[in-house]
Amino acid sequence: MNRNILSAVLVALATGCATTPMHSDRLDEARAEVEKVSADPLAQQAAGKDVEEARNDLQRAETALQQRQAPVDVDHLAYLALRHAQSGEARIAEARARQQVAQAQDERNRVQLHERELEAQNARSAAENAKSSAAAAQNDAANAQSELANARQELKDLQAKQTARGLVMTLSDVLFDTGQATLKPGADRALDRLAQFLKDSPGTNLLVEGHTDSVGTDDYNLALSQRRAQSVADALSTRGVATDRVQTKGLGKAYPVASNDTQAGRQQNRRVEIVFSDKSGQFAQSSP
Amino acid sequence: MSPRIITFSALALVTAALGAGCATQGPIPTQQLTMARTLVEQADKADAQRYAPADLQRAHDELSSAEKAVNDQKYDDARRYAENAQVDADLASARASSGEAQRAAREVDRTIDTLKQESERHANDPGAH
Repeated sequence: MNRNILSAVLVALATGCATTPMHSDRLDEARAEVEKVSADPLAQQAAGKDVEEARNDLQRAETALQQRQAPVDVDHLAYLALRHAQSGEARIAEARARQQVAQAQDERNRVQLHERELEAQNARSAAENAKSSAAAAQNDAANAQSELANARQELKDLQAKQTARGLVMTLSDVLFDTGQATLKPGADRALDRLAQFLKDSPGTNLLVEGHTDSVGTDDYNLALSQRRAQSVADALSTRGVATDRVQTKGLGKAYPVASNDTQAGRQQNRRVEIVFSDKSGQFAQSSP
Repeated sequence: MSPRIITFSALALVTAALGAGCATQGPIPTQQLTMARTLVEQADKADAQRYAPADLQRAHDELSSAEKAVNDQKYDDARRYAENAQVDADLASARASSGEAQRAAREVDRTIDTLKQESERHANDPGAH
């Protein structure tokens, strides 16, 4: 009797006082979760403590199961393992997100840098454009200045004189045959220059005036002065100057520039005067 | 010692073992409860309500159960509940922190997409700034 009772007590104690099942669903779940989190490459770095705790819990749960401890204890330890493993997963996900943010910030810096480079490039090419525009403008200015200098030189070559009527150029008597309106070849150079000047100064018009000395009748002198003026106009027309830019006038002996009493004076009076308009075609005075 | 006394003792032992659900009650799990309260408080502060509301709720429930078990003098239950509350609260905190980091990652991704689009527009239309 006593022995039987003692045996019963011993059996009860040895079996851990329970009919422990050899299986726990919760433990299966915990095993899978711990295995999963352990396999993650970031496990050690991002969730070392969680993984370690999860493994310890799991080990205790396995031991509890083997020792046939109460299912509530096995499940409890498995639950701790499961939750620690899940915390580990959350911390790994957090680490990944932080890496992503860091990479994204690098990427953002890269994009912004690229943007700035692009802007700098645009600014540089704008500067280049401005510079070449400036150079072109300077070139234009230089050209205009040299054209002006050329025109001035041409006028100087034409021996034009500034008078109250504007610039006036005198073709002397020696360029005409005596008593004739025909121009001598010696006038060619002056006429070439005059035509060139008119080509370079498209706004300038001419008034060509013939003058004579006092020898001979007024009709003769007027007619001769008119024909000589016309000869000059024709010569310019031959050189490509539009006829509407050149007016002619025969003034006869009315406007001497020297005394008709001497040979030298009369020669000075026999002349053709060419009056230049301003650049807009206006003459300072319509007539002497 | 008479056989009678032996028999009585043995019976008492068996009865006690079975009656107590074969558990011997441990001490009041003061330390576990303190730790559980601390961790639940941290989870509350970590905005777990936003990112891990279910985990946070479970942590609160387990902590309540632990406190109730202490009142009922079921100290082993109390210890298990307190330990559960600890891991639940820790999980809620971890998920809150992770959720916040992932939100930041999505945001920065969006910013970059916008930047890239602007950059491409500028590349196609260098005059526009």
